[in-house]
Amino acid sequence: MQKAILSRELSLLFLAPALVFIALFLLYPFFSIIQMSFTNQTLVGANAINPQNVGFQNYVELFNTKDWMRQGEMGHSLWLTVQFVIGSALIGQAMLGLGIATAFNNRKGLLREIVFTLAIAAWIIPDVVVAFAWFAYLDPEGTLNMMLQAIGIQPLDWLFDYPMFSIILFNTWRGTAFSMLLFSSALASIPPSYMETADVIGASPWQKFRDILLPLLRRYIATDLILITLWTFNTFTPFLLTGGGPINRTNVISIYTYSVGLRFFEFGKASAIAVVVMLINLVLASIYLFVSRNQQGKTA
Amino acid sequence: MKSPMQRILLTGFTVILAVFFVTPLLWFVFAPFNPQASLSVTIPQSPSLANFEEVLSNEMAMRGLLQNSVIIGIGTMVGTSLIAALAAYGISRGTLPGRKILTYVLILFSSVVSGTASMVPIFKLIYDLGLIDTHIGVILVMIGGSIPSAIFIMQDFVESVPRSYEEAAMVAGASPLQIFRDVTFPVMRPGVLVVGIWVLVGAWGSFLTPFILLRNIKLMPASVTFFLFYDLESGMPQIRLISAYAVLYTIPVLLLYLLINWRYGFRFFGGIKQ
Amino acid sequence: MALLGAGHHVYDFDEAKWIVSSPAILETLELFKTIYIDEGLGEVRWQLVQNGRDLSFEAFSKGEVAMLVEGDYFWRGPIAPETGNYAMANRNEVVNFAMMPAKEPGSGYRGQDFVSASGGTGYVLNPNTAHPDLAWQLLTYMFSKDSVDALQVLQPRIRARTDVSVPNDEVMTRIASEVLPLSTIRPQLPEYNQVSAQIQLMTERIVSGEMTPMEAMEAYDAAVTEIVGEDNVIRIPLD
Repeated sequence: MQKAILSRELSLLFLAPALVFIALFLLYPFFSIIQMSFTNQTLVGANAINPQNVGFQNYVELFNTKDWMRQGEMGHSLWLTVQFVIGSALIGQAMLGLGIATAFNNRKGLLREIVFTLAIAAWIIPDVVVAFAWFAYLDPEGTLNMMLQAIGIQPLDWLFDYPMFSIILFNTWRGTAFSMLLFSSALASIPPSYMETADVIGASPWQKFRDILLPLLRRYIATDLILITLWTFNTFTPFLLTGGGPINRTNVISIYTYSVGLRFFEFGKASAIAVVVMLINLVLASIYLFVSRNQQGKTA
Repeated sequence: MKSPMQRILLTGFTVILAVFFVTPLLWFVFAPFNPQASLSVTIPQSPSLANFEEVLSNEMAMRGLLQNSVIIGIGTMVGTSLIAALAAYGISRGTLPGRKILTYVLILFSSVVSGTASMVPIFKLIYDLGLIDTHIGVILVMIGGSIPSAIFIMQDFVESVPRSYEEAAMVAGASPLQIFRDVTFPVMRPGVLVVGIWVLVGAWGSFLTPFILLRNIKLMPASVTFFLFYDLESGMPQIRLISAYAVLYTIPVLLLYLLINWRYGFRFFGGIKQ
Repeated sequence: MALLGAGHHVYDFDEAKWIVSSPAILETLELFKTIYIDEGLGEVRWQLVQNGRDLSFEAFSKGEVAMLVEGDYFWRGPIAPETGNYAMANRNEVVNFAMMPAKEPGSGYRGQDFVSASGGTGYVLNPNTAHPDLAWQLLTYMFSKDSVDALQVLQPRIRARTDVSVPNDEVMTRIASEVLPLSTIRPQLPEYNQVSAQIQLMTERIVSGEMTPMEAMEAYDAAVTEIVGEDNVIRIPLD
């Protein structure tokens, strides 16, 4: 147990400016949203001026069992979001990020610089402009199909026939840098002697990865998954690419919230969705933490 | 340890990754120089700088890019970095109960609040503070939104500063604020810069907050003044101008990243701890 | 537009109710099915992907599409010689507008032979303003013949005044005089955005072949009824 350098009062003092911002710009809107989720607040029409308290009606509508799996409704949207999160965050970003970080672990030089720089470029280019380039990339006569044809694969109409795959590919491309950076820092903190010992015993690369790196990385993986799951739930950029279509086939939860909130201006219902999404993320975060700690206990 | 086989595999892997990450961006290389640019990658038949000339001569768009985006970006960067550095130090070096879980909870909060639904309370709050249509209003909201993640990343940098430095300063009789200012902060400065750039990039690209809180076109940042290159009536983009503006808009953040990467290495120092 | 040609609007302005089921809606959907599914005359893709409208403009400007249903904006915006994003240098020689015919003469909206739908910009006086008279004076000035004539020099287009023509543009002038009197607007109601999304969805379901016209209309009926309430809908019996 390390000795604390700051007393409790002093550490609160250091935290004070942050707490003021958190109270004003996080807690206040947070509680407003919870309160608003129990009203029929809208932007236009009579309910804009005098919103009524409607109790749990917004929530009941969201979980209306009769229609909720219908295209464009909450259940359908959640199901699409599950595909999107598993595909682009868990499989795409986390696995690819881990793969890149492992491949370039303890290496310096041009190859690493090229991959890291390009991945980070994809990550930091502003949202507003990135979709245009991707229209050109995924067009039936676009760059992706040109490359596929060069290696003998038939061209496909990505945005039209495979819209979900398209936004998964897009979000993987866009977000891998974060997981890559996180895992490469984590790997850099593992003493090289562990790996050298394994080399002496004659362990295969896969054994080294499974028996040495993976157990040491568990907690970092949990941290990574918590953050990227949350961000993938909230990312709005796929809208620029597909608009949630064709025919609602990519109507993930962030786009659903957008339609309800900013297209139909039903702020009460949009707030209820925001609360539900947060609760889902809270549950997922708890599961990731629980699993990573449990596993840690077993292997230690 | 590195066999030729591994070398070849790694080079192959690098080529595939490089192609994966760079090919979607090819459009930005050609379209801006094509007076007939469309949503496809075509090599311009008569490349010209006409698109750039037209964009550069748009006073409001350039003011958005060179003045407003810079003010909002740097204001958010400086504010967030300082506040998050203080807070991360307070959390890391203190004994607050539940401090490990605190940042996770805050990040969950911030995700709800960054959504569209929160724009109603945020607008009301900024209106009540009398800060509608001001840069400071936008900056405050952006600082509020980025603080949780900034603290989260910053905590690592604080942890990487050896405590012995601070203990030595304490023995010499320095006050906690002096220790932070003269010992810890200088040591973690690269970290503060990395978080700062990360926040700047976020603020640079942020659309919804300035769009909702600003009314005067003279105050709007580039992420919003993009609308100058849309047809207002139909909402259709004027693609050749958008492509040129997009390049001008993206270059500053890319250069900043390359600068920071060259100087310090753009990574998380010390590893993310829970 | 096609619906107007088949005889009615999505909204009955006299009854102040939404028409959610009718022979005209069904006929309109059948028309789309004929065009996009049965005879393959239209590009399905452009109706369904996000950048579809852009792609259709580009194809038109390259002479790959014979006919588009677009408004005056298309003429003075995307394909305008020099300034357009899909500029057509020979626009004035090779492009023209035809009026949208009703299904049969006299069977269109309000018994018209030809139909049209319009949008535009409105200016409103805030009821809470402290200076209603000044605001009214400003608007009166803004819409005076002199002001609008002056505006036409900067942004020539069809204006709200019948005594202001579109300078140096016969095509636009003809639309203003012949088509505008036949035109109608979308209902400016709070729930319109939601209904509009359902109209879009209904047509997409046809164009993609996902539903038959009858199924799509039934789904539309159910969804709109849920949005506006059973009291605010009309169903015109099918024959």
